[in-house]
Amino acid sequence: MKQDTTGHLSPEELVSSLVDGKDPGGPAGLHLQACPECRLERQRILEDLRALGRKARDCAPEPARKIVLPSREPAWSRLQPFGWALGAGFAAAAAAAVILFLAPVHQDTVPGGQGRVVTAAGGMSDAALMADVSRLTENALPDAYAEISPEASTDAFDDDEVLDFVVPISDDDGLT
Amino acid sequence: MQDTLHGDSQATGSGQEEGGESPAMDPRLIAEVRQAAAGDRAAFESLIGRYQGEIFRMVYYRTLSRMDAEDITQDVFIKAFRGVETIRDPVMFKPWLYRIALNAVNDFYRKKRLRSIFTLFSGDREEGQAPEEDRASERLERKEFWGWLGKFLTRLSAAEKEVFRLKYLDDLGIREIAEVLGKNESTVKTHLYRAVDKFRCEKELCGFLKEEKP
Repeated sequence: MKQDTTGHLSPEELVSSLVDGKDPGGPAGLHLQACPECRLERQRILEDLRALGRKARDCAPEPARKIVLPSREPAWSRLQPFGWALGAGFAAAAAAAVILFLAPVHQDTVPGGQGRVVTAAGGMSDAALMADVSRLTENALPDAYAEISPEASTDAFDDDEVLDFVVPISDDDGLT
Repeated sequence: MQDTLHGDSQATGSGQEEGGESPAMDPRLIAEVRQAAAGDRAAFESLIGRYQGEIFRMVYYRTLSRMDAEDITQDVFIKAFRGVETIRDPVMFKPWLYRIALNAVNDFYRKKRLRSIFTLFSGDREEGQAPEEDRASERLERKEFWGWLGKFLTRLSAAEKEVFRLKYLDDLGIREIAEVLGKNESTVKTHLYRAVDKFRCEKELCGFLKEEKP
């Protein structure tokens, strides 16, 4: 910081001392203590800033609406130590209860099906379901693809022939 | 902008040394914050009584809309009520509250910008502005003041503007401002220094304020 050519504190020094909230140290501080002009100028800026704050408050309305707080949250939601684990436990228990006690109510036997259980959602018998599963396990491709797949024409190639075709045996591969 | 003039100046402003630390907290206030943090609703309501005016004004300075300021202030206290139990140091309550309010104001402007995109195409008018403008016309002096202040604030950077408002309009101390903005004190002082230096050169605004002085 440097003083201006008149020997007084520069405006920057005055602002800086004002922002810091204390007199500057060193020669600038000594000057400020001794110079009524600089103190007056500093006070002028300070008064303008205070006037700004006062004017803003005067020009703002007062709140007219009463703050309405929400009611306290239920006690269970305040069980912080358990938190999510407790909630998850309750959810799992509720789900288990639904599965164990409500699901049988929706089960029914197929007429003439000798007690085969049909799920309420699917409506498909166990046997039909298992047949589908078995078919898909053996070949997941639709019938249209099955017709053109090599497996449909295994009479043309056995496994060794296909392998030999794909990976021909070389006599000079160094292994024989 | 509003219809009544309440010049309560109990507030704060001038009593605090410029740039200095925030004043020591009232022991009763500390007790209230502790009780509120422990779940005491009455204590929190007492804190509302203490800070509602400040927060409302703080929001109003940034929105210049009484309706919006009322709504945002309500939201601020609800958020504070839900989170007050996280307050460990009662001294931090005020900066924490201002931080919530500042975030709420920023959210308000984000939503407003988003709405303006749609109103641009639909031709809808922003509700609630016209009546306030009409009332403001009855109080030209206020309108003039906010006009001068707004003009000055446009000359500041975003950081300078916020620091300046928190310091000289909201009357927070440097440490409180640092807490509200999540910056260190020297950064706050740097922005404040630049803002005050620009304010010093704002002859028209300063002249307007001088006319108002008793």
